[in-house]
Amino acid sequence: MTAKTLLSTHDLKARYGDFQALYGVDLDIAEGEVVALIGANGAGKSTLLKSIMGLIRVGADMVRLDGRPVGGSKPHQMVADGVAIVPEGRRLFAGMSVLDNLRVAVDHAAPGRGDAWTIERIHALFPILKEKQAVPVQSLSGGQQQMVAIGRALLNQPRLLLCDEISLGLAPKVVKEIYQSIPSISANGTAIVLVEQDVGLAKSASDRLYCMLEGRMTLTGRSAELSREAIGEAYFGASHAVA
Amino acid sequence: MDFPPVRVQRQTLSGVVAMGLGVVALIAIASMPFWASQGLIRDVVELCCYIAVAQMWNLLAGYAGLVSVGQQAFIGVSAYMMFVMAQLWGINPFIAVVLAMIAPALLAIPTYGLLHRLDGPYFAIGTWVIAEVLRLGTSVFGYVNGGAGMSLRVMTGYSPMERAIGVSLLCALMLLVTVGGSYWLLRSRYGLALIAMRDNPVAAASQGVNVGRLRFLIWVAAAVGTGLAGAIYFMAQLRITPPSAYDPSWANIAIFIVMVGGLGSLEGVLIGALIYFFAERWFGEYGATYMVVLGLLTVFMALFARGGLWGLICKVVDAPWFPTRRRLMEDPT
Amino acid sequence: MQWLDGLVQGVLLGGLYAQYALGMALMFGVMRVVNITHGDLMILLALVGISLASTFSLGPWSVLVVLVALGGIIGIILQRLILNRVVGADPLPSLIATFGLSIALQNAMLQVWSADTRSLPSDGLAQASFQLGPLFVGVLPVIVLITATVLTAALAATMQYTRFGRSLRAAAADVEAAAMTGIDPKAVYAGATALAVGILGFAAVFQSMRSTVSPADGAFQLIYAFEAVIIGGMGSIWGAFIGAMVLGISQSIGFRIDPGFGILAGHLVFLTILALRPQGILGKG
Repeated sequence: MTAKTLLSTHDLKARYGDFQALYGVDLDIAEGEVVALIGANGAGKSTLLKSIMGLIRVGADMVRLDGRPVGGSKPHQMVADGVAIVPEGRRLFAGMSVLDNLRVAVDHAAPGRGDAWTIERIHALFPILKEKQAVPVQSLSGGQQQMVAIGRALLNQPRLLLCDEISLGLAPKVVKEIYQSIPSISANGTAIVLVEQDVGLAKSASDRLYCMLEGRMTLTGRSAELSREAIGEAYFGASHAVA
Repeated sequence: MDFPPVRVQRQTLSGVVAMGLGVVALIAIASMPFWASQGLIRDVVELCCYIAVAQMWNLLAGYAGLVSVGQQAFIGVSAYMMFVMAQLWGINPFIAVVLAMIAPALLAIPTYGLLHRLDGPYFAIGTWVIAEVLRLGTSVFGYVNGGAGMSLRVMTGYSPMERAIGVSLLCALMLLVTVGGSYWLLRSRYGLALIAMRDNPVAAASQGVNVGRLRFLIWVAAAVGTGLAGAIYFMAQLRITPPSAYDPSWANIAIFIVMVGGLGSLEGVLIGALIYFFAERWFGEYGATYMVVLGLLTVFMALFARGGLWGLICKVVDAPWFPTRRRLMEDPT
Repeated sequence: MQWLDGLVQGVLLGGLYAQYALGMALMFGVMRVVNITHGDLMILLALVGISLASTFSLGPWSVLVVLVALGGIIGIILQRLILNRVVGADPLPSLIATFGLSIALQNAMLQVWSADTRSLPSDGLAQASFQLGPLFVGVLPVIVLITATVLTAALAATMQYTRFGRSLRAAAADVEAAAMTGIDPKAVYAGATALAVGILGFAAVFQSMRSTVSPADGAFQLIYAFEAVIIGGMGSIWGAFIGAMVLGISQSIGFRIDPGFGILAGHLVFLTILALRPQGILGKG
C-alpha cells in the first residue's frame, strides 16, 4: 500500500456501562480508500464508528488521525478534524427544511479544507434535493432522507466519511441509486468507511473489507480477493461455517 | 436442568431492627402527652409534618417522575377544609382532620388531568400555578373570611391534655400512613412496577406497567398524604391565612429534605428531615444567609450527589432500614 | 370605555410579559430546560441597574446597555457552571438545581438590597402620556411594547436566517446529530442562555422604570413567563409573544372587574387554555 494511512484504531476497546462491546479492534484506512465493514447485528460495527466519532469515550491512543492520538475527542472536534458521519437512522434535523439541514453542515465544515463540496454539487449528485429544498425534511421519503444525510455529511468537507448502514430499510432501486454516488465521492479524495449488512453490496463497492464478529475483527483483505467461504466463516464464526 | 432450591429473602437484620425502632417511635409519639412537655410535642408535630410532606414529594419525584413545586396547594386546601368542617360545620375537629382528606383527593384529580399534558419541567411550574390560584382564590373567598384568615376557636372547647392526645395520635397515624404506607407500597406488587418506572419509564411501559395510571394514583395518594400533614400542622397552629396555608416554603422544605437525604429512598427522607429540623433550630437565626446556604446545598446535591446522604451511606454500608429488594437465597440442603 | 382602556393597557402590559417569556421559550425550545431562576435573574439585573444608576448617576438607557451585556455574561456563567451538567432527558436535575439556586439568589438579594421595593428613575418618562382618541396612553408602556415586538421579530429572524439560529434549531431537534454535524452543543447552549438572560436586561429596566422591584418578586415573573409560553404554544417565539398579550389582557380586564381578581384572572385564562387547547394558540395538533 502506497497511500498514507489516514485513520487507524489500535486495540480499541469500548463498553456501554457493564457491557463490553469492542474487544481490541485494529483497523486502518488510507487516504482516498473505500473500506467496507461487515458483520451481523450486534457485531460492534456501529459501536466502532461511534467510538471513532467520539460518541463513546475511548482512550486517546486507541484512535489516531494522521498518526496523532484523537480518541476521546468530542464529535464536533472530529468533524473539525475532517471526519464526518452519516449516522444510523439518518438523524436529520426534524422541523428544518432540506436546505437548512444542509446549511448546518456548511456552517460547521472542517476548516482549511476548502469547499470541494458545495450545495450545488450535492444538488448535482442528488437532483431531487434541489427540487425539495424548501420542504421540511421529515416529509421526505426514506431514500430522499438518506440523500440529505449523505449530503449533510459531505458538506462538512470530510477527509473521511463514515457511513452507517445507509442501505437499511430502503428499496433496492434506491439503494442502487445511493451506491452509485460512492465513486464520485471517493473520486474527490475522500476516504469512506461503509458499514453494511449486505455482503455483496459491501464487497462490490469497496477496495478492502473488514469483517467483525462479537466485538472482534475476524477477517480483513482486499475485497476482490476474498472468497465467499472465508467471508461466511468470519461473518458467522467458525462453528457455523463448519456446520 | 436442576435449579438449587431457593427462597426469596426480603427482610434483613437491619430491617428488623429498624422496624422495631419504628414501632417504638410510633408508640412514643402517640403517648407523648403522658411524658413530653408542650414545647417538645410542638416540635415533634412539626418534625412529623416535615417527614410526611417530604416523603410524599419523594414518592412523586423519586418514583413517579413527577416533580412538583406546588405541594402547598394540598397543604392549604386540606387545612382549610378541616377549619371549615370544624369551625363552620361543627364537626369534631379530630374527625374533621381525617374527613378533610376528601379535599386534596378531589383537587388532585382535575389538576392531574390538566397538568399531565405539560412536558416534564413545565409540569412543575404548572403545580405552582395551581397553588397560586388557590391562594388568590382563597383570599377573595368570603366564606372562609378571605385574606383575614380563620381561627380554630372550637379547640378552646378541649382541655390542653385532650388536644395534646388528639394531635399526638393523629401524628402517629400520619407517619403510619405516609412512611408506613410508602413502605408497604414499595414492597407490594406495585413496588416492583414503581422501581422499574423510576429506573426507566419507557422500558417499564414496554414490560406492561401502566405508567400513566400508576403516576395518577401516586399523584392522588401524595396529595392526600401531604394534605394530612397540612391539616395536622394547622390544627396545632390554631390559625390559618391564605399566605401561610399556601406558603411556597413547603415545597422548599420537601425538596431540601429529599435532595439532601436521598431521592428515592425512605431512609433518606428521615435523615433529611432530621437535618432540616435541627438546622432550622440551630442556624435559623441567621435568616437569609442560612437560606442561601440551604439553596446552594440543594444545587450541590442536584449536581454532584443525586442519591443524597443516604446514597453516600449506601456506598459504604449495606444496611437498609426499609429493605424493598428481593434477594434470592440458596437454601443449604 | 373602561373595557377598551383595559384592553389597551393589557396589550401594553403584555409587552413586558413578552420580554420575560421570550427567553423561557428559547431555553425550553433548545434544551427542554426550565430555569427557575428566570424571574430572580430579572430582579437581580433590575436591582443592579438601580444601584448603578444611583451610584454613577446613569440614565436608564445607559443602564439598559450595561444590563443586557451583564445578562449575557450571567447567562454564559449559569450555563457553564450549572445547566450544562443537568441538561438531559430527566427534568428533575435541572429543576432542582435551578430551584435551589433560586432560593439562594432571592435570599442573597435580600441580604444585599433588603426587602424594600425600589425603582429606577426614568427622567419623567414613566409619567409621560399622550392622548389617543378617548384614551390616555403612557409613553413608557408604548416603548415597552415596541421593544418587545422588535425583540420578538429579531429573535425569530435570528432563529430562521442566521448560522447561530440554525445551530440552535439543529441542537433542539437532535443534539447528538448536531454534534456529529460539527456543532459544539455546550457552546450553542451557552449562547441560548446568554441570549435568554440578556433579553431579561430589557425586562429589568422597563419593569423597574414603570413599577417597583424587590428581591422576592422573581417567582411571580417566572409564573407569568411560563403562562405566556404555554398559552402561546410551547417552543414558539411568536407564540410566547401572543401568549404574553393574552395574559396581559386577561390580567388587565380582570383587574377592572375587581382589583383582587386581576392576577387570578390571568391564571384562570391560562388553566382554561390548558384544558381546551393544551398545545397553545400557535401550537400544532
